[in-house]
Amino acid sequence: MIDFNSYVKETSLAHGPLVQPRMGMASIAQMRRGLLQTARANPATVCTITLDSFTRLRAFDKAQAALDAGDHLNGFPIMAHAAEAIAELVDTVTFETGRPIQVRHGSAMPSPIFARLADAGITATEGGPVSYCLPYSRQPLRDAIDDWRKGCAVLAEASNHSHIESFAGCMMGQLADPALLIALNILEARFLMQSGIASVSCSYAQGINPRQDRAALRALRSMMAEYVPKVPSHIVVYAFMGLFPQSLNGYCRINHDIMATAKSEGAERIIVKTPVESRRIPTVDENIASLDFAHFCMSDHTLKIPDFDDTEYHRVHQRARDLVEAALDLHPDPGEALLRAFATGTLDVPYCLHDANKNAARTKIVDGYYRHSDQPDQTTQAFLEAVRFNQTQYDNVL
Amino acid sequence: MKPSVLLSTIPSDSHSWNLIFLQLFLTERGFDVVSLGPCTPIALIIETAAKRKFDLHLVSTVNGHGIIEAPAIAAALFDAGNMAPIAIGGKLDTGTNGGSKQALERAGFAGVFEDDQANVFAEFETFLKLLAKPCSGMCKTCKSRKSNGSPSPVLNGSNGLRTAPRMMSL
Repeated sequence: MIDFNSYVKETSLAHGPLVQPRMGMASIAQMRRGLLQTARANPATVCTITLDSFTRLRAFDKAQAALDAGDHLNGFPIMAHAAEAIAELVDTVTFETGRPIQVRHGSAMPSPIFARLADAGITATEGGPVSYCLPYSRQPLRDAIDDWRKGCAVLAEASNHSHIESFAGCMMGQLADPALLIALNILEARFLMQSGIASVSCSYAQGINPRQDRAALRALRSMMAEYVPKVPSHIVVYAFMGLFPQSLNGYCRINHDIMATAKSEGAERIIVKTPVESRRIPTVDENIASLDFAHFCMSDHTLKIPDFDDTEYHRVHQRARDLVEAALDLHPDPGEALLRAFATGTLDVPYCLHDANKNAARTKIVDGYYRHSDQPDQTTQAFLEAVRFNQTQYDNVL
Repeated sequence: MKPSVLLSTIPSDSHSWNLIFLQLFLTERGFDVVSLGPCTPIALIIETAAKRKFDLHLVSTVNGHGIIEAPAIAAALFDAGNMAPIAIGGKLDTGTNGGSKQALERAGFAGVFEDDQANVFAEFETFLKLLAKPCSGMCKTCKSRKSNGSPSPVLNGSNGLRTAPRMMSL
């Protein structure tokens, strides 16, 4: 079994930030081809198995039915394939390429999936009781916290190399103050640690300004050193997950900015997007080309490194600390602290529709930076402009 | 009184920005919107539709499973006696073969708006404007039903909004 965190830290030292796709297909054969192609694309790749939406929501019978009918599943139905077949798939990739595999699942109640990972010898996954419950499900938060504890225990027991990445840097994908994303990462990382996970990573999704993103990454690193010091860890950066530029030029420009930001702050891993992202799920070839392009960009020395905004670093760092401390004051147990923090509105994710979230907080764009706000959106026009901000700034440039 | 829309997604789709965006888009165009949120259980759509009459049922889904799951929403609404038009938009299939538009129209969707088509929002706006007009019997759904020998649509006389025909299954 590969130690995911060690692999990422060591390999990124040699080859720059590692590049990773989202990738999931229905059959074992298709998945094997995709994994091997990813592993062989360039020295900096990490492999992914993305699970389908039915499996994420525990509709295992629907996933099985879709697999049997040959329907176009949007990911790998891990519960519908035999555990032995999946273990063999993992062994093939490990033996032939030495590359690690992370399972990406988006599930608020993952314990059966985690049991399957344990059986298949997969040690690395991602998510979190808040980051996969609030934006993506209708499950009560308490149920998600309980099930995540259970799932983590299964993974922790199965190997010494269990690794979970907190998805909190990607809450809602856009229109979030970086300070909130960092605070949620830290609280989830502490939850994962306390649940027995051996190593963690913290995530950060690209926003609307590379200077703000660079300052935020520095603040995230500082907060990890302070609040999650005892567990081996690394940072994973996400290419923008909100309303994505539609032109090829826009894709290259937005990609350039996040590659430059990630490289400038030594982020160890990047989840890469493809040019077709705004229209459809990419093919394997499109994914591979995007991974190669990303690796090339970061190996080359012509990236325009964003300035470091010291004022923004301190603002983000301070607000993230205040949010973390306010949550931890509510209860010493990180899971319980998260529950109470959302119940009291101490933590409030703008635009998140889940019942557990107050949804009173808002995010404004001020001088090109995301800023937390308590005021409601002035007009739908202003809101729509904010939602389309990256399309506007990256697509419409001559 | 404003025309009303019941906005939902399919049970397996956890995305919400498309719902937030559409709620604003429709509100700006004078609709009263009830949005049921991500991973919408079909039972919740039926329960909500039973308590209040809507002028349009709109399913927005971007995870590629629309072609698999949305027909059951149309069937459930018809079985419950719903007569308002049902429309769907987004990323409806993971494959690139096409054919999902026809399949969803056969399943009873009066409007199908796939994201990968240019001008899809302009088409959707045209559809919304047509909702307010009396049915001319000239739309695709009516024409295909005529050729199937199905009964004609019923005009809702009180505000001129076209009601959806009950699709005869093939």
